Amino acid sequence: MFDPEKLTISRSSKLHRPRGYLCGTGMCPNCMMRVDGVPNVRVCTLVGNKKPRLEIQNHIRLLDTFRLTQKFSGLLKPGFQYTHFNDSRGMSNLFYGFLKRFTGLGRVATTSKLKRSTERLEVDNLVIGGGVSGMNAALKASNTKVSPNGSRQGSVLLVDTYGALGGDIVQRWQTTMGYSELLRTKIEEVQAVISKVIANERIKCLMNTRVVGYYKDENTFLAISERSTFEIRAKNVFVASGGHEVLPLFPNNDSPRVMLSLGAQILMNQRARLPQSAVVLDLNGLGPLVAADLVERGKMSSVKLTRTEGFSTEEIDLCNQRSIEILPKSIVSNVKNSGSVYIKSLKEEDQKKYDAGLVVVCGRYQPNFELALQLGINLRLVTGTAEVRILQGAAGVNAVSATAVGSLVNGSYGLGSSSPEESGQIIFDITTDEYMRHFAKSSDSYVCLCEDVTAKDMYDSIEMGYDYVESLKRYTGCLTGPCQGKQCALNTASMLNMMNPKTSGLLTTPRQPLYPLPLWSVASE
Amino acid sequence: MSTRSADLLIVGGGVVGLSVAYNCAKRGLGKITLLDRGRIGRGASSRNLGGVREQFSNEPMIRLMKYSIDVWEGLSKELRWNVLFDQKGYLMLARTESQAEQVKQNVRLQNSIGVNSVVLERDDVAEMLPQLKMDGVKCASFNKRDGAVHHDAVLWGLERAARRHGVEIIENVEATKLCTTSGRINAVETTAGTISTQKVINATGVFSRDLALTVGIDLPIRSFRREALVTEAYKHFLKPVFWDLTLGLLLSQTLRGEVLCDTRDPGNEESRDTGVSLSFLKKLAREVCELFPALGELHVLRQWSGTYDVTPDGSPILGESDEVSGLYFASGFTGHGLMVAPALGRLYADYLISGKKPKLLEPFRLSRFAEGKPIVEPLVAGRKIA
Repeated sequence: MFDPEKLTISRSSKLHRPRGYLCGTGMCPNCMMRVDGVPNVRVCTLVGNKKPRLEIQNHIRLLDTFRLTQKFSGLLKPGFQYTHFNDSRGMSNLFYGFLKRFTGLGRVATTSKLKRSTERLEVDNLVIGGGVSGMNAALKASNTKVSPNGSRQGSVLLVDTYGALGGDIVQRWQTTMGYSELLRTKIEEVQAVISKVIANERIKCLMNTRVVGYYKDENTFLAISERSTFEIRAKNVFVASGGHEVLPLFPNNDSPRVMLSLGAQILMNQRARLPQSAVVLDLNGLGPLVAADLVERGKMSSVKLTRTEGFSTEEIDLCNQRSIEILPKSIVSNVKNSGSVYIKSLKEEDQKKYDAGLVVVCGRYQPNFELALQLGINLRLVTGTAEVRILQGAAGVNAVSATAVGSLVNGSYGLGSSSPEESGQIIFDITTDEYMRHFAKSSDSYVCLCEDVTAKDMYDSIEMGYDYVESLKRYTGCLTGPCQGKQCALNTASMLNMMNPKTSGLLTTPRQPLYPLPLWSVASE
Repeated sequence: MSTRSADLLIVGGGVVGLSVAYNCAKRGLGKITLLDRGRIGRGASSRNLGGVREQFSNEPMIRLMKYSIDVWEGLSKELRWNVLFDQKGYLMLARTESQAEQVKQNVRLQNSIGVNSVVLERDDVAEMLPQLKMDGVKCASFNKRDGAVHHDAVLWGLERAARRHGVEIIENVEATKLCTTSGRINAVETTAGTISTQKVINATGVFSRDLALTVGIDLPIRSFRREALVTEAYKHFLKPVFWDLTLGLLLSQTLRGEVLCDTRDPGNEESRDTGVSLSFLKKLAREVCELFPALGELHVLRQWSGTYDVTPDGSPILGESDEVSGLYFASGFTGHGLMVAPALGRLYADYLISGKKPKLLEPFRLSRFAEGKPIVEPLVAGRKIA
């Protein structure tokens, strides 16, 4: 469905900005379209071969022609609705009428799917997440005898959002290619674990299924796939939900030309046609490998790689062999929809302009902390660690997981960190990155894509006194849109920490469902 | 905070406490202090759906809300802060004969007090709610002066205005005990020291019973857990606030396009848990699919819950205590605290300045239960009044 000539597939809700394919995994609001008459469908998560009728939502010709709201975006900063038109009822009513005309995303459908039945599953062990940590936890659990008499080995249900086991690493590199010995070894290790899981008859896998929340009242995990709804009860639970990439701040970071690296690699898996050139922005260490992949599989003729740090000799070799131009100690300072990408050296003030069809962002990973938090696991925000880990042990929960994307190249990708005995807490790295240092006050760098909240909006709101997560969220709208904070929690927490380290001890309460679900999917008797 | 004093101490920084604080400060009632055990407005005030209506079924409440909507209409201007009071109308749907009769009776009562609510026949209902499945629909009552506000905007507007008028707002401090001397309030003990004061307003919602018990008054207030959910934003399709009297299903579309939903959920008496439940999600989903088949495609964005402070008759307890002078009640709103708050602020300011209880507040005295004169209000979203 991806078309490099038509990158804009949706319009943002407030400023009506053009948006394109971003994450590829249902973790952002960008690909919400009207599909066969049904509004707000995330196109990237559609499974199957049928060709649905796709329509762009929130498309208002007048606004699209003149980009009116973007022209006046300074007037639409957070809180504008509270400070304007409060002098008379008449003006207020006109204003509300105007808001109702232009807000909202898709038009509601005229018919709905039928209700469907719910499958109820009872298992000894539930593993959420089919990455390496999750698979190792599943293998270990399947070999553990279950109480009360300990005579039997437990059943294991493994649930994962992807269609294949192995987590992000398998989604990123579905084929083992020759360009990195290290990567090939890693993938072979992962494949070995996958084989063991498949061969283990006590482990059942539920793929393409999202666990959308834990409900205490029925002691149940609700999970949704395209065809079925599941209510799962388990004696032991392993949360190995990993993390996902988020966008850093830079001007026009919401441009349809900007794509997260996992999204780009998923497109290559689907053999989509990509533009001929790209700038790869590396914040998580995967940059050289992703750039190489864009050359090898994406058939790109020109790839540039920028990073705020330097490169190792192996990385330099990897890039040189494929004519990838490396730009160490530099940042992307602007992206134009026309295809111009500006890159600024951190040492010198000069800014160079490049032409690139795509900006592929190897973003920092935000842990998928929500489910763990619902299970009563502590959350700790820290600075200064490159690793994102989810570990734990609250009542009845044996969660383990680790996402250590940055260290893929150094060799500790998830493999070593799956011991159920470890107890701890979610560690959420909120270090201020180079991009936030540069663009914290930028009025065209977006923290929240759902509600069009810019870095400057956040900065100003925190200065105004909305300086703890709950008030900031309510005032600006960040964390409340269709992605429920999956793209903005990291940047929000980092910015709060940067501006006022005292107030950043807590994130917002992660509410069920973790992923939006249609009412009909849970409407059965 | 060692020894402090205040001319008026308001316990509870919800919308009611803030409104009273602001109005009293504006009228120059002296030094006003407002305490909250957590952050401002983090209880029921920020967990509600923002509905505002005059359509009640008892005279005292209709009169109080009629006055309150008068205040709501000028509130944005007064606070210099748009509270987003959208008078989009409020529709109550009757699907049984007895409900139809009750709705018509309510409208007659409301009309006799000067509220211009109307009975909508089937065709009018179908026109106003094109997605509604019309099977079994009898009629509906509708009042175009009703509507919804944005609760956070109300809180911020009141908080800013209160601070402007010199109210001292203390967050993260809990009032632990009321102190009296010969039947009069003289101080309040808090987690951060004692505050001496002659007048205390107990506006602590579900916690007001605990606080009143410290001077031996047992308020007949219980907590009741309510759940709600919100959907993703859609283009506007739902004009009024919709409430089905049979199921208790309530839908309201916000200015941002999200649909707020809630329904009757039994079995939550005495609960202060603010977690969410799967049973509520499934019940609500079934009901929406039944009444509005096309809306089954709405995506649930998040669920949350809050607590009502409910009284046996469904009406609030207002006014000064008979046993302890200087102690004023402002709780037991049974889910209607936000909508009456603006009126209450003004009435309490009058009350405290003149020493004379305003007529509108008189019926809501605590002694009504002992006198056998309850103000029975069956129209409480989410709950059947015994």
